[in-house]
Amino acid sequence: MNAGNAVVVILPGVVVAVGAFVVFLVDLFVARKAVLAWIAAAGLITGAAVAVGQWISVSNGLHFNARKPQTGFAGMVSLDKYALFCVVLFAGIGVATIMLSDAYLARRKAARGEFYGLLLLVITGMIGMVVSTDVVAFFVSFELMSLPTYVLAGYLWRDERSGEASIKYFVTGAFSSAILAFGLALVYGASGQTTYSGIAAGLAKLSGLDARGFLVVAFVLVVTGFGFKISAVPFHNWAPDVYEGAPTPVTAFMATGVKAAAFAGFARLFVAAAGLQWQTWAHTMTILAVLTMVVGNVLALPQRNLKRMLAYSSIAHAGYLTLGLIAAGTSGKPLGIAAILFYLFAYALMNLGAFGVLIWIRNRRKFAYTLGEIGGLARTMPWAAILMAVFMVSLTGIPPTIGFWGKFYLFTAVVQANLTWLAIVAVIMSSVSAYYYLRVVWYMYFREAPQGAEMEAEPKSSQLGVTVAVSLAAAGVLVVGLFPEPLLKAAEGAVRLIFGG
Amino acid sequence: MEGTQYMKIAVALIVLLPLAGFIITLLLGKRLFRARSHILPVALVTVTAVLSVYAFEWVVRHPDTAFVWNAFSWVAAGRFTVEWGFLVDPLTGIMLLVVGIIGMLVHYYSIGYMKDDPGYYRFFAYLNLFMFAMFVLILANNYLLLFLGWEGVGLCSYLLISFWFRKKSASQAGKKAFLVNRVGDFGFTLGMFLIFVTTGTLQFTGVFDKAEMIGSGTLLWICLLLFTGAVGKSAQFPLHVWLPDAMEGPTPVSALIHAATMVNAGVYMVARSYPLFVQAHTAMLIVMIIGTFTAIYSAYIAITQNDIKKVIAYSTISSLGFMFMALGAGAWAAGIFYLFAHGFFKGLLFLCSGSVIHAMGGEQDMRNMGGLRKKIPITFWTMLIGAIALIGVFPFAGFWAKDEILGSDFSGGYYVVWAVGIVTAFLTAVFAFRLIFMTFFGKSRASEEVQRHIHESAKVMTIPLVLLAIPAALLGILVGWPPDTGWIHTFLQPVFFDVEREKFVWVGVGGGLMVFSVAVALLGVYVAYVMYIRRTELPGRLAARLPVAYEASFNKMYMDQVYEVVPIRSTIAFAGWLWTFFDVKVIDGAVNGLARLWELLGERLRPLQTGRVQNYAFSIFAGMLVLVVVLAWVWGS
Repeated sequence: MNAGNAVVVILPGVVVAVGAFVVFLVDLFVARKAVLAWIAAAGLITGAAVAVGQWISVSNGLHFNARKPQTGFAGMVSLDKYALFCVVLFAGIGVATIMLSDAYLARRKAARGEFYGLLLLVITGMIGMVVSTDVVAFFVSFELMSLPTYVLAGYLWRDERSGEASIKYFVTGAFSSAILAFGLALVYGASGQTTYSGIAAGLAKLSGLDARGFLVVAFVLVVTGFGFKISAVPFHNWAPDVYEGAPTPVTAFMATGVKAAAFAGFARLFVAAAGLQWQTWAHTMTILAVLTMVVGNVLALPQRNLKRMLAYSSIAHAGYLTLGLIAAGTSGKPLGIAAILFYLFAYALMNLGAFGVLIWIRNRRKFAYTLGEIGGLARTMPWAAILMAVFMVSLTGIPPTIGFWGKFYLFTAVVQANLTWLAIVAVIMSSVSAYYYLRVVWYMYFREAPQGAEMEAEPKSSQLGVTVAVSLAAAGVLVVGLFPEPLLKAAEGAVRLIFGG
Repeated sequence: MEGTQYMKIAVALIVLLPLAGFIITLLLGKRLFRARSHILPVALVTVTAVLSVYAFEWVVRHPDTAFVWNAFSWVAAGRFTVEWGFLVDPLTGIMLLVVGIIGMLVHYYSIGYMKDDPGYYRFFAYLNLFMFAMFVLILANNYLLLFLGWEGVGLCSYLLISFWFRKKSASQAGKKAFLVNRVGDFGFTLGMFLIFVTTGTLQFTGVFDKAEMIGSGTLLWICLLLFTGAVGKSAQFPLHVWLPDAMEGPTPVSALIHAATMVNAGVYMVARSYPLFVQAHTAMLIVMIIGTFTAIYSAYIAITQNDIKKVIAYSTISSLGFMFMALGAGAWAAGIFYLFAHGFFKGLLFLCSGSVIHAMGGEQDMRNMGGLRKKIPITFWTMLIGAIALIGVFPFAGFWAKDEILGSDFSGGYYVVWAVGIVTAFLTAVFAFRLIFMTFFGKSRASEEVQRHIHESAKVMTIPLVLLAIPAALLGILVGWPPDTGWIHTFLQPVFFDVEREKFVWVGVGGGLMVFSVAVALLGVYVAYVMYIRRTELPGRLAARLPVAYEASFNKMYMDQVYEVVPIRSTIAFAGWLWTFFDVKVIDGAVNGLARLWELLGERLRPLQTGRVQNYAFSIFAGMLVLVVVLAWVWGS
């Protein structure tokens, strides 16, 4: 394999990275910073377009072998539908984040060039996580994703809450990265290999109680690193503080993009590398999943701050998503992973939408993100209110929204893995979630608007990105909610190959 | 196959254009289009009408092949799969013509009728939504998609009946229609469940292929449950009570939804389920009995009503009863023939009544009309054609269809049904010409103020009347000639494949029955003439002489009162008990208790979130250790 072909394998990531540098560069020379958003978005869209093109050629066996993933850099990266599906998802989340950020940053007179550049670097790291088939490449991508995120969380550094969020995230993040690195080192020690397939083969040869003890520690360390990024209980404490303190568009991005990359990247690591040792991490995950669903949902109940509420709810959703890994690990069938991909898509749409509505309100008036302050929103901002209602209904998992199908496929996978009790816990917990999601709707429609909720006069155009992004997200929630089939087919197609079917 | 690509495009557009019109008009109508809100919906519906004609013509050219297109998969959950699948066969073709053409004409008519209404854009948006749902209903190739359209038209019916929602009676009527239809829909839903459980599919062809294998008991239940849905939607006794009240809606709505299209959905669904019904003779018998009873029952009520729209509404219920009578008696093609013709002449009658109401400045009571013949001549002549078509006088549309139905009742040996049908035909003639005479003849009984304003409607309203009057007059002879073997029978042959076509006998029974029923209809007209033109004191005296019969008819057989007492009051009482005891104490208690429990738990857990980063790091580390210990223990054992 020559290097040219290897670059083709990571081409979408390369495009996004180049986009980041173009943004940094152009930022130095132009005065009208609004153009930067377009450049960054163009970088992401080009990356996604490349991925779509590769998807089509993989599907039709043009240029690539449809049955065998194209690998590059001595097997460190791989081009397959799984990675490409995720690339498109990440790019979409990135574009939505840019649309949500522009007016928000402009109002706060924050520099936009660095923001978009860093954002694109994070996405490069995210893409790296899903194309990697080697723990070294994986870890480097993981760090490439993490480090700029710490900066983004503290981007509004004049606001001390934003700074605090950044420091907290950085300290705990560095701590858990170290744990992850140590875990990966142990895996290498156990198998003597760094590529996923090599690790799987190496682990399969291990036997005996000593090796098992070794593996338990290795797995728990890796899972801890994973659990931290997806904010699974008990590694979640950072999330509410960071989500509340970080600039709202960054929160939206962390809750959807970073989490999606962590799930997609680690799922691949677990599936491809753990090989026969699946049962090990399935146990680990079950404990995490139940704790995460229960604690996330229960702690969301008393929250009066919407950003905190969404933070806890995102913990709860991480719990549901973990169920997909458990189902796949227990049954050995790819349905659970396909359900995860579907859910990541769904979750991105509805969570970006929900945060988007908060940004929308914040751009129009004084708003401290509390429940009381969205009272009467149906009268003051009817369009925002109805879209928010759509997102809340979808997050609860009520048809005909994408959230329903997301949960439906996840829980179906769990039931098919003969873990019905786990599905029942999940359904009960998602019915608990109806309380805090639908309470938002209730406040918007049946409560009076608070004092001082008057709109500030503002030119229309600066909000356009937000309104368009939120409306598109709502349209996606409903359209896929009505016709889930194509997306599910794509997700199933994406996982087929890496499961070695 | 030749032309299927074009058919796919046509069918897709037929469904999508009205939907697009609905969305765009609803979003932009209020701010942007305002008084021009009709342009887009009317244009789109015109295109769909043309496409409907094209689809119909396609069916005519391909008599032996039905167009089936599974556009894309809709729901896939294990064994349960449903597609957005479309089917165009002769039955659908006829429905397409009725819905497409009448829908288009009603849209045009509404431009004039709804002019200056504050909800102008809303009206056209809803009309387009209705067209979308109705097309989905008739194009569906499976029961679930049909049900989607079915509920969609129900929703539109509700929205349009209570269109003037500030009026208490209108919003009440909308609610009534919605609730009564729920009863029928519940039966329909159960029927669908039963079909799916028995046959494992909801696709028409799949279900019908297995029809012969379904046990007779199950099949009977399936048919009866489906028919329950039809009874609700097509306003048959005892679920007919919503239709007269539905006249609270604007008159174009009455014409389109409550005469020509939506109320036919029940008849269409039963006809579509022909392979099921044909195997269940008891179900057919029940269909026939309900239909026959409804036909005479509502014709009897119609003769004493004074509201011009109510008369036509009861006439519609009666006509729908006629159709069910035909289906039940095995005269499937004749029933659909009647549906076809009825759509045009009943739609026409409603639109004419709307024109009358328009001329009278909103007056609907026929006792305050009279003598309008000269003042609104176009309306008069078209309405006269509609009435003649309705009562079935040679050679107008109603004659051919109605006589085929009555003839097959007779030749099928259902003499009682035939006799009831003849009486109904007599009553129909009486009330139809009572309407004509009271409205258009004699002296005007309106106030001076109103009389000065009487005027013929605008062209945009009268032209649709004329265009509808043509098929109302000629359709019967065009497609129904010669009786029992006419074009429509050949055309529908692939759908109702098992029905034997009898050769019509001109001299003898067939011709005799025809002459007889025309004579009965003319007798009815004569009676109406005597009572409402010559000796106008007669009706009053008759009512005084026969108080019970009159009161029963005038008070709509007290059905509303019966509903008031039996289901409504008892339900309210039961609901009251449910609310005060079961809901408040048991359910709310449990739910609130649980919610409080969780909330308490949440409050208790909150202090764990200290905000100190060293605690968080510790929690990560501790969690990790616990996991190691637990796993080592799980694995060790």
